[in-house]
Amino acid sequence: MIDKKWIGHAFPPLTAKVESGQLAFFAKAVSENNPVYKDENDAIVQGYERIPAPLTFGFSLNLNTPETFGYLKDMGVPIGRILHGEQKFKYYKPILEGDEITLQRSIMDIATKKEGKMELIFEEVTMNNQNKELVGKMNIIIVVRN
Amino acid sequence: MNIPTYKDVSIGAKIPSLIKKPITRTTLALFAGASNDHNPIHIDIDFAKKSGYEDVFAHGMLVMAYLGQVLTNWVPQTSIREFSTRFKAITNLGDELKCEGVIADKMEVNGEQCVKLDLSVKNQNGDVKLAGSALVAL
Repeated sequence: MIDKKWIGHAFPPLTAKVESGQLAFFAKAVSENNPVYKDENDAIVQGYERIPAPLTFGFSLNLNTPETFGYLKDMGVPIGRILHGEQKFKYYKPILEGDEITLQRSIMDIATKKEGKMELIFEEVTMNNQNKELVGKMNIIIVVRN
Repeated sequence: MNIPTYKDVSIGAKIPSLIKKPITRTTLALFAGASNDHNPIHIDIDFAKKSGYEDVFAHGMLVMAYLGQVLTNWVPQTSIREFSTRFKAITNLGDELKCEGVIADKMEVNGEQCVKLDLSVKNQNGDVKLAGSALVAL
């Protein structure tokens, strides 16, 4: 069982650079066909200053740590027992190649289901760019199989 | 891109769907690297078995990235206000995913004319893997 003391906990913010190489690799990995995500000239024609990060890329920026899901280890949750339950993004401004995004993860709630056989971790992550503009928010539900 | 207008879209209309190539181990290895999600459950069959699964399975965020392409093939990303999904079932190796969207509602949100879309990802057997929604300003 996860210690309920984590409810309300804000993890130290993480700053991640939106690297052009990673955007290109991501586009390849998801077999992206839309040139706006691969070709700077197309991005500029479409009205962006630089190549935009795709819709779900914020989730990857938030994993830009030496250990994937290290925060779950801190909470005592083994990585082999988690599943992704729900994911929501709210968008305020595009994230662009070269941006430095600061992500702040907070644990909003922890719920116990099925007499403890399952727990749900509700997280919120805010994303601000190098100009301190709020570019987006994520709400994440992680399912833990106990 | 021919950007749809608010008055031209009607509730119940489908947006263009997308079928992706079947999921392979290479797909998962590449996505693990590209997405920073190094959870071994998606790339290491020994770890997956030890964790109670028969084999590795796809990252939920890979499938959500595919679904997002349906939106960004339809409208510019800057029109998209919200995008959310529930991960209903595990996506397995060999699954051929079809990503679809339908206009569920038209309404004004924060002074903008918006449409709400219902989204889904199904495999070749019609099993729902992701169910989602999006709010798009037109």
